[in-house]
Amino acid sequence: MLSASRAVVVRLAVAALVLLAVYGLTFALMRAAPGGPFTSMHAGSAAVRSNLDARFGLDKPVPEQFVTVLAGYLALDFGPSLTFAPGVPVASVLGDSLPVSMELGAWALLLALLVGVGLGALAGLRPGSWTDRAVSAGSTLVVSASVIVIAAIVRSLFVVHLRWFPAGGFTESASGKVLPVVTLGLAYAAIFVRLVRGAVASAVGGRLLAGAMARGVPYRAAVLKYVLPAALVPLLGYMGTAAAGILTGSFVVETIFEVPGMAACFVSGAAARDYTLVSGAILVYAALLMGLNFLFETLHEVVDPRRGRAS
Amino acid sequence: MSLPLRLLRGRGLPTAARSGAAAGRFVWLAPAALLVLAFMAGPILSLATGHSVDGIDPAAAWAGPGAEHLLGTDALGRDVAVRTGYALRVSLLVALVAAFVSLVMGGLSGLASGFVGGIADRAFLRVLEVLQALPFIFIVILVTMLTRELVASWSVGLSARALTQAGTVAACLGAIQWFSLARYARSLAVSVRSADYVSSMIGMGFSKWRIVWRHLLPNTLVPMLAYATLLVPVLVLEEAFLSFLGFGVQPPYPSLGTLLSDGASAMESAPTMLLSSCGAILLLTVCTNVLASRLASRFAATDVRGGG
Repeated sequence: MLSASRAVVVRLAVAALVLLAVYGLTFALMRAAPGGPFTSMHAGSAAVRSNLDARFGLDKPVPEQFVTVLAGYLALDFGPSLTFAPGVPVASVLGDSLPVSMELGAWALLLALLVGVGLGALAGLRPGSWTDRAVSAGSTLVVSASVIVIAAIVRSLFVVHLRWFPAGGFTESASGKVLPVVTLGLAYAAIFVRLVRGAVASAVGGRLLAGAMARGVPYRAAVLKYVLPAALVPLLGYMGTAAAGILTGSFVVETIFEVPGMAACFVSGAAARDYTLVSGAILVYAALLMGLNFLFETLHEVVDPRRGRAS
Repeated sequence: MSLPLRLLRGRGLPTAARSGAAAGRFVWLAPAALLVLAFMAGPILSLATGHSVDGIDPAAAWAGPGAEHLLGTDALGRDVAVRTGYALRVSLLVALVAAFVSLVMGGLSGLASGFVGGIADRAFLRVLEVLQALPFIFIVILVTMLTRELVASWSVGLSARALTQAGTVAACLGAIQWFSLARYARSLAVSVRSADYVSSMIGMGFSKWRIVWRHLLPNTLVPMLAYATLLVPVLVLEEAFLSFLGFGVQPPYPSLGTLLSDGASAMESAPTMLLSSCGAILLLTVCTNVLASRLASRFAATDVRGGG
């Protein structure tokens, strides 16, 4: 039996090992790609290129570079960006773009939870009703379409044809945030709807509701106090996966709606061989996801003690 | 996007809908027929209209939908209908190959872990837990970007390069989607392992290999196959995502993701391109979703939630 503090230490050690492996993998992949950060930039002048290489330590042997960058990470120093924003610390590049992606993700998650729990409960309380069928059909359609199709359609309809919303402008105005958030939020709301619907439907059919009502609790209060809380527990178990999915989904949404978040940073950084930026971004994401997963898992275990014992 | 697979299996259907489904026992025929049609749509349309998939015709660029070009043409004058048809085939094939990669990786590792049991099995579950929380899609983007550029420098034909890239995309996507399948395969192996006839075979001294070949594999193959079909719609979308960003399937092969990206950048001038690629993605995901949940609830009925 592990004590709580020892479990945390073990988890941290595992997380550190995983981050090391992720860094090694990213490093190897980036170095295996043809060309370096500065090969296409100053195609004519070899002198400029070797100066740049020397400035960023890229003239050193590859194992030495691996260790130098790793030592930097241990001191929480992500080094300078090479090509995306030459010379600017990666930490500040990420500091500019990560909050934008996080804002998009957080609003979308909030919307997805509100819509998902609301509609899911509505459908699950009356299994087989028209509401239930409409909600289930709608969520199947949205899940099948996924972020990528919804984003493309929504943008062409509301930005290009109807011109109700501005193109881009996520960081400038509230109206620029609406479409990206709604698109990403809806796509995940559809998944939450299915989860909540199933859980509510089985709670309504089970002993929980019948027992409460037998004790004289009115239907409405029984649903709010007993059924819904029980139905929301499985949602917690899925939150870690959802967080990861929203991060990926936000890549599509950011690309289509021109949101200046991590997508632009990562994709153009990778294409331009910005070694430090790419590995910094991946490490931050990996750490973030592991942290979120740990958080949701702990919450899940606190709310539902059976889970902690079972695994 | 990763969905919890059990959500896609249709077991949460209300009883009313389920009894209604009994009347439509052959409902799966419609999506199956549509998928076969989608697979054949490219060559059929090409034969019917006389346009080839990469027949560039600058004079006919941005033609509207009409008798000559059913869905109009793109910036290079290529027929959008024929390209969408071929893209359906490419995207479906990539997703199927990727699902097969997942099946092999997840199936073998899960079966082995569940059959061996003990500390190795517990360690395997922990490793799965850690892997599941990692942003592998970024690594996939890096790998496909790497191969795209390495392949571009090869001195082989254009379609050989595209084929290599498509294979890489399928392998990479398959390699990040096997976790849930591994869990499922493991739970199947555990239930076979703990069956009475297996423990008595072990007690009588039959070799492990004989049990694996004669009992474990035959008893788990069909449920695993059915379960793997649930991955297909997810993989269709992930391929579309990669190709949309430009790291997926490369020209001259069309894919639904590249068509969507072409359509999104030309949504003012040629809205049919965007609509047809969106429609094609929906067609694939809806049909594979319906068919897969049918197959899974018929053949993979063992409860997977108990499997850790």
